[in-house]
Amino acid sequence: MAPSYPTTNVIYAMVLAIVLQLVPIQGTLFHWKPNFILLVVIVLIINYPHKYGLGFAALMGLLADGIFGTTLGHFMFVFTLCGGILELLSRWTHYFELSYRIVAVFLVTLFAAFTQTLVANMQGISVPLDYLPGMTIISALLLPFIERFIGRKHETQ
Amino acid sequence: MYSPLFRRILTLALIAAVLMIVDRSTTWFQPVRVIFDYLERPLYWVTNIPASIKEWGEVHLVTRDQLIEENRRLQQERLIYRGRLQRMSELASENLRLLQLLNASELLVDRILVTQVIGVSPTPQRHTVTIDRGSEDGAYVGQPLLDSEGLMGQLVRVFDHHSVALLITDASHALPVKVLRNGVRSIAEGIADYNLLSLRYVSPTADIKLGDQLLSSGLGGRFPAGYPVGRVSSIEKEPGSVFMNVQVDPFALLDRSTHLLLVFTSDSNAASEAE
Repeated sequence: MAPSYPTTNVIYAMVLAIVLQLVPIQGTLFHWKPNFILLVVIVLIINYPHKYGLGFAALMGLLADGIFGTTLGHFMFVFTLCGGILELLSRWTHYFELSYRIVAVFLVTLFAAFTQTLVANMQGISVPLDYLPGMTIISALLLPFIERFIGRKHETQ
Repeated sequence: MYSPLFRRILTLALIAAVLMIVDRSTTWFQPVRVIFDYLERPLYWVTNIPASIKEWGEVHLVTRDQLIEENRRLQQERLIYRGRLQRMSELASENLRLLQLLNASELLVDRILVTQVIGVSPTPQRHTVTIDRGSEDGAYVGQPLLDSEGLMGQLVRVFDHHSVALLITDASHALPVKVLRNGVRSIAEGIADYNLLSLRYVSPTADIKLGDQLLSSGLGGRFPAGYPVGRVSSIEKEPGSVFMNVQVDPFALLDRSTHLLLVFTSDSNAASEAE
């Protein structure tokens, strides 16, 4: 039977992600800040595909819209597409080694960033693309730390 | 025909698209935003702990020598500014005399209120800051916000004890400006870059030069006239284009300033006095 992940730990992880997202960063570093909420969603879907999937991703996207102050549905759309891709590939990504998982997260966050920019452009908001590769690389490199945090939480249950 | 997963993706994506359209074209979700803003407020307190520790350290962990040095520097600055102020007061009285000669109405002095940034937008798409002043302090939607260097933005959402301000570099923001040198008017738009503004619809024959200083023109009635906005940093005349591409470096330290000034414009002062 697939291991389930306690709801309280999801709440802890999400609260931490929201706090990290809201921490003010000055200067150009601001553009390199990863989307921590998306990262937590990706990690949960990759590691617990039987419990977390498309619906969870869409719900978290809606939550992100509320927190980021973006148009409601903006991040829901992005998270839905990312959740869909991850759910589709979950039978493989679940068994990936760390290095492959990092590549998978890089590709998904890059896709998310482009989709987000596209949706923003459709709303008349121009977003510079210069920082996207850097931001997605940082997101991918954070994967081991997020998995470690979530894994640790899992072990304590 | 389609797999269940594809149908679910399509359904949720459609729901998201409908939500976007409804949110963009109506104010139905405004109460939801208010709830989110109130829920975020304690989180801002948590996220500001590192900044508060740094500020505490800067105040309490200084040596006597550093304080003496700072005091000496401040005294020198005070002397310089007092000298400039004398010149300014002479110019102000001269300006007033000229306005009286022209039968113009007397310029009212704007009232200001010091405020502090308690949060910034968590996403690069939106350039907003959250400040620790709200309607209880007299803040109102549309109120201009400055830092020590120049114009920063305006309040777009006001709550009891905090407010959200849209910065002039946000991609949805436009600000009427004029060139200090000759009064040429234009509109400075944000392009989602903290260090750049773009001037809109500038004719190739317009008298705008590199290094020209831009001030708020006061047109539109939202921002008071005369506040520094930025300096022209590049002018490109694109062949085939009807307009010039003019970029401006904003004076305000939009991604760094933490202590800001809320401006109560002459109109709002008059309204509050009338009340």
